[in-house]
Amino acid sequence: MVDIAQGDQRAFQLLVEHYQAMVFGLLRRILGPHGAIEDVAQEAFVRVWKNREKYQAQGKFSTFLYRITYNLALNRIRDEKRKPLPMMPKFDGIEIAQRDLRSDTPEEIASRGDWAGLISWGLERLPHNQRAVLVFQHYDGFSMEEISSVTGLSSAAVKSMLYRARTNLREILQPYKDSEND
Amino acid sequence: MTDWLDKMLDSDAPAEVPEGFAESVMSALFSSPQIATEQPHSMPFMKASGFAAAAALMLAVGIWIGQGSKPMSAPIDVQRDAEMAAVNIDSIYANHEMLDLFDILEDDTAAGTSQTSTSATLQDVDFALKILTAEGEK
Repeated sequence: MVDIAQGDQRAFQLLVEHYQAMVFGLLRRILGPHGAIEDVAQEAFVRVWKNREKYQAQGKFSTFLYRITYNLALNRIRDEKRKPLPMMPKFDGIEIAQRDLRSDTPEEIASRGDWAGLISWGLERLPHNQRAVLVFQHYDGFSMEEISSVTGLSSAAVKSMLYRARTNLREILQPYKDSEND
Repeated sequence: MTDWLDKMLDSDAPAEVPEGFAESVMSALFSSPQIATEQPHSMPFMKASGFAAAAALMLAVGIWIGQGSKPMSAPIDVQRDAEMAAVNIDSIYANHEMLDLFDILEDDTAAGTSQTSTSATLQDVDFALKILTAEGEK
């Protein structure tokens, strides 16, 4: 990061190649498989470059990168919520909100043995903050303090949110867990 | 000890990174000259000088406005202020007397003797003005 802070572009490209999988994994789980993952990931690295001198005062680089990525993901989620659903052409004078045709039912997903898809479906059903703490803890191995640093929540709030995330996800996936064993 | 939820979470596949992603980031950053050469925390010179000019102008306006007011530290001259107040009151009364001379007559009389009343009013004004002038010279 010292080289990057001094404007070393080659060093920055190596950094992108090293952390891109981590960023994509995080974004896929937070935004969902159909979210604007590549756009947000690119924006995250652009922001890292623009704020490269700010990093010097802080701790682990992964925490710094995750904080930027998480905040951008939250912004995208908020923007998506504000967007009205695309309306289909009028039918008998009534406009119909277009259903997201990409999302299958959990039964359809489980029936084809797509457990990764089922997990994605389940995670999408969690509130975004619960989803985030669960992803940081389970997939990235972050400690409570690290999750707290990335999300801005207190350690106590992280612990509580993690408990609720696991409880809720368990309830959501309970009906399908036996299908995995079939 | 892992439970079924952890096992299920582990079955999630790693994300696929599109080929050429790193190159696309570099291209997005360094194909735009402004972003590539932009120094963090630095303000372009023209923008900074614009702010400086605006600040200088506001300061000058503030000084110009402030020049018309009494110094805040100057003690209040009660005697001088009382004299000024007295002059102001006198001038108000003088104007009042002159305005009294301009009293409009009743409509009936005005309609009937417009020529006469006008000339009489002008003479009275002239007399009043002479009084005021004499007082002003004292």
